[in-house]
Amino acid sequence: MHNIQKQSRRVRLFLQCLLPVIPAAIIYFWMTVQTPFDILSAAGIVELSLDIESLTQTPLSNTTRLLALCTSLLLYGIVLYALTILIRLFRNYENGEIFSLENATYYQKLGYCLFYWVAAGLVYGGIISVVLSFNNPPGDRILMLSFEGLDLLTLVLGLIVIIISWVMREGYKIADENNRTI
Amino acid sequence: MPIEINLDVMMAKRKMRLKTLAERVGITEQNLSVLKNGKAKAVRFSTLDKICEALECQPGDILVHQVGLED
Repeated sequence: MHNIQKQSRRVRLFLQCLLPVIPAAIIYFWMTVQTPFDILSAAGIVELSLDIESLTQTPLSNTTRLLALCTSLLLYGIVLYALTILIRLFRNYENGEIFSLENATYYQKLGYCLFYWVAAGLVYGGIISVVLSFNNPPGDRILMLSFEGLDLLTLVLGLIVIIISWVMREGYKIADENNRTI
Repeated sequence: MPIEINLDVMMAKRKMRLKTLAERVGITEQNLSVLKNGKAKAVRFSTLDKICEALECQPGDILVHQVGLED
């Protein structure tokens, strides 16, 4: 039990560190991409699935950067939401609450986050392609929607996580009933 | 719950403390308290048997079905 609490504390602290780092990295990326200050792409820390150069024929304007940043922040808002749930979950583990109803609810929310991530990814791909290609001449503007095999896998994973949360919830109910049988 | 627990009434009638009853029944005070406060989900026949023996009463003196009471 002590080991679980120790490891949970470490994971929680790591996740809490990630919480401000992710939006900061997104802001830095969109403000510096296609400039000499873009360390994140140059060092290979951030690799976008979409190729910016293939979408835009002109250098990125400040408005484009700002719009792309807002779109990315909306998508990564789901990641931040999932992170806050994970932090709460590991805080419960830290406090010794492992098989609780609250944790089962957190698992369910994490499962739904995977669904939101796929749906938001689809919308994000469309918006970002329009934002990045908006300054292109008419006829060269692009609306790109993609649904990959990995997205399907994420949906399956989300479904499995939700099923696990249901099982945990039912397990909690049985354990509670056993505890309250005198 | 339509089942009402009158354990406290019977304990008062027999002038028996929670600790004494718990010792006689062979369960913890906490568990007996859960039962007394109506928080229990179920009661084992063996527990009910021991409670009735200790309090010299019938199960109906402890458990009462109240019509119209819901969860």
